[in-house]
Amino acid sequence: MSNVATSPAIELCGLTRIFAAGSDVVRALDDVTFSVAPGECVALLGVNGAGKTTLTKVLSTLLLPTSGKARIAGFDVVEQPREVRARLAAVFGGERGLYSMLTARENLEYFGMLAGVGRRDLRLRVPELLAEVGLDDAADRRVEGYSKGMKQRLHIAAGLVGDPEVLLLDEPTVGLDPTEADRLRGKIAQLVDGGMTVLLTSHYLLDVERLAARVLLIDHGRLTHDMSLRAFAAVAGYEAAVIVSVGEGAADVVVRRAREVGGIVVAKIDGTDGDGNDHVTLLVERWQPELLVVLGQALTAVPVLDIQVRAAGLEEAFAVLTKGQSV
Amino acid sequence: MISSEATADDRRLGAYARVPIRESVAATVRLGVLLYRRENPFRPVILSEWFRVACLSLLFTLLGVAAAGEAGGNFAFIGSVMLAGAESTIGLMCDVPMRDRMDGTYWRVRGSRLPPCATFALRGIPVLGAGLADCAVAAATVGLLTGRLPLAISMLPAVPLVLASLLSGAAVGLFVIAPVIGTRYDTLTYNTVSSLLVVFSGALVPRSAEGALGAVGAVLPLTHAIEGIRAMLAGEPWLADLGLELLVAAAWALIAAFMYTAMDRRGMKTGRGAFEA
Amino acid sequence: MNGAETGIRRPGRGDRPEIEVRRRRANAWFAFWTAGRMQFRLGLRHSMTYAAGVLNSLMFLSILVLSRREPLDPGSTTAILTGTALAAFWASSVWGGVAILRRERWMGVFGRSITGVQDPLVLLTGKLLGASVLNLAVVVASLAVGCLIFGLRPAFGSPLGALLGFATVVLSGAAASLLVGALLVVSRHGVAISNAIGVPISLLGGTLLPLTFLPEPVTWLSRLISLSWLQDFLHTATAGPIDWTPLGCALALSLAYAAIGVFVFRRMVDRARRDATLDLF
Repeated sequence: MSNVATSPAIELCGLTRIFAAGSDVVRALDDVTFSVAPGECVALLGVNGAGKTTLTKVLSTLLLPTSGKARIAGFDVVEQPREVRARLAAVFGGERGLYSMLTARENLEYFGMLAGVGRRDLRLRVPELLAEVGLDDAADRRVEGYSKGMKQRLHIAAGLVGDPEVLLLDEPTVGLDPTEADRLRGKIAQLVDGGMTVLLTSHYLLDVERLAARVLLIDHGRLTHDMSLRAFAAVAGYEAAVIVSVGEGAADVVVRRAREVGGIVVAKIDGTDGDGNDHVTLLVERWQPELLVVLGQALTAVPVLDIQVRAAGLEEAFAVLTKGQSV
Repeated sequence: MISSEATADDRRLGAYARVPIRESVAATVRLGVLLYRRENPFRPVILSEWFRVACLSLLFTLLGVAAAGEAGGNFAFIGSVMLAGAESTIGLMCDVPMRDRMDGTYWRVRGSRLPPCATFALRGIPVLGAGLADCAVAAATVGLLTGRLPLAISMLPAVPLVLASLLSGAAVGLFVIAPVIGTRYDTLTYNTVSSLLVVFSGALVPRSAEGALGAVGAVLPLTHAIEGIRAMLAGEPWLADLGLELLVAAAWALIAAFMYTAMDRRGMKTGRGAFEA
Repeated sequence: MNGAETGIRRPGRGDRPEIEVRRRRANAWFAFWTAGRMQFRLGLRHSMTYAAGVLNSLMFLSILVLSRREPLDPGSTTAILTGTALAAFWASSVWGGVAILRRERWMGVFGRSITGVQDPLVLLTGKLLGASVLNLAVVVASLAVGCLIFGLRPAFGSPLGALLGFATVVLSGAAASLLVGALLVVSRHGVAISNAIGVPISLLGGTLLPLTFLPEPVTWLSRLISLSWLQDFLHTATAGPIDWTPLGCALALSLAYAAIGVFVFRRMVDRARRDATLDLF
């Protein structure tokens, strides 16, 4: 029985993991501290190599931390790995991680046993899960013939078969078509609503936007930000981007005049396209439709060809926080 | 720039047609050498393979001694040395097209000026060297351990026969793997051919002992090369055996070329199979 | 087959109260049985099971039978059959048992196996035994076909002794596979090395070739290989009278392999978690 009533679902305290190869020492995790309450869905973001995978490996007891503590439902990942494993499932997805020569049903029966589910429960649980992830028609086909999306759904089912308290999800919608990805997001949301704690790692910020209530940002092994999704979205410092296309040579005028309009925080020339037209991006701190009228007046006599308005998204916030490092 | 002497076909094909065929050949052989060296580092892959080959040849030779005394040992020694080369040639040759399947690069091979079968054959050239090295390792180690070094040395003039057996082994390797690439039967196919060689080629079991064995063995690689070596060591003419072995090699190479063309067409028609584009 | 009932709590949200999900947990026997059955199924569907089991059995049998000049008596026939069975079984184990860990690593399921609720050693033991039972069954069936092809009539002095002997072969194969598999799983060249050790162990094991053919200085090495004792026992079990000493020695050696294998496996997993030496996903 877990002590979930008194403990956070995930709790990290000064967690550090150092990899040493000869004289090279890499601090993959550096003094990371945070906690996730039961039933919360938290997104873990960071550029490639930031330490996200190392963190999920430590939490899933695959890797020992160098120092610090990590607990799942109050159980220490180093001292009580069995208790942790009984409460946590990690879904890493991808082409690997399944027995390709076995059917989906056989894979789930085996992974269910690994997760500690008894035979009687497995008989009920496996068909139920196969139907939930939409694999009931293909349940008795070998996995080697599955598409990427079907494999991904089977990975999710394998993660859920043990009915874990805490689910670590790594790129859950990779390889899925938009409809399928949306369906999966719905399923995860349902799980979170049902009280499951989810730590989500994804480069698809749409997943984060739809599922997470809180965002953790990790950079060079250090936790740099821990904020609500709303606060994260506001980090970009602007609410909308206005892209103005003008005739050749008019870009400087647009930038100069736009800077005189209140509420535009950045005005920059993006470049010239193949037709010789210039493009200028104006970032608007607080979007209101009246701004377009003011902007129109400011740009009188400028040969404006097109104006597009795009709402700022999580990508922009992510780019600001990671200072333009690639995702 | 396209040269002024380019044909209409060349112009249609653009830069592709400007690569002289000899350059394509040289580049393909170079890639084959590069891939072989990367996939088979000397330590430990080649060393452990030589160890395996030496042990297997020793086992076969001693089985010959156990079955029919020293004469049986000599008989099996010759066969096991030849088997060492042919088996590794077949196995390594099977790996050549398998590599493209695994890496998903077959569609690029199809884009070459050379037909896929020719590409694979050229990339398999280092395999012949590996087979020859395996023969040498088996002859030297087992010869030394069982006191058959003089017999090994007396086999040296038979190098053309060894090379012919390696060629026929490579052709069979290329052929047998084609229909099963991308299926789960690749290892089964290679192992079946290897087992057939051990039993039917006359390497370890006298071919004349069983009529049926002789008939099957006649179309297998290695059989005529082994007969040629035995004839050579007995002071009998062996050129006819060399010719027969080369004929077997040519026949299997032709069948392999046909097989790759057929598999390629099937892939284009059905969108599935070993060589789907 | 099932263990005690356990439960997990789900926190309440909004109007929904906290709930507890109760589930009867799988015990070690269920885990062992499921892992063994899963490996058996995997083996049945893999062509290498037949490449190693059927082809090696028939190939070795052909060499031993067809190269003989004198006719075979039932005693020699049985010795050839047991020797061939052991050699082919070992060849199958190099693929079927030794490679289990390596394949799990390649397939990306090794991490799941060692982070499950069940003890990874219980799972691995189940898998190794599942693979060994299948390999021996394929070898024995192939040799039965070989007997029909070549018209061989083996003698069975003590069917019970032979049965005990083959049961020990399965145990011993699983123990040896655990040891070699755990040693090689971290090697980048595991395939090449395990292929390389297959033949010398058959050679030193005295299965196809009597140990008298080996030079005196290496015969002690043969006695560290359980196959050589198993061959001796199966010979006495079929030709009679039964000598139980070789069976005891084979069991003792198998226990030693298993003990070292467990030690190596545990160290390997500990090291992987500490130093990240394996890509466990």
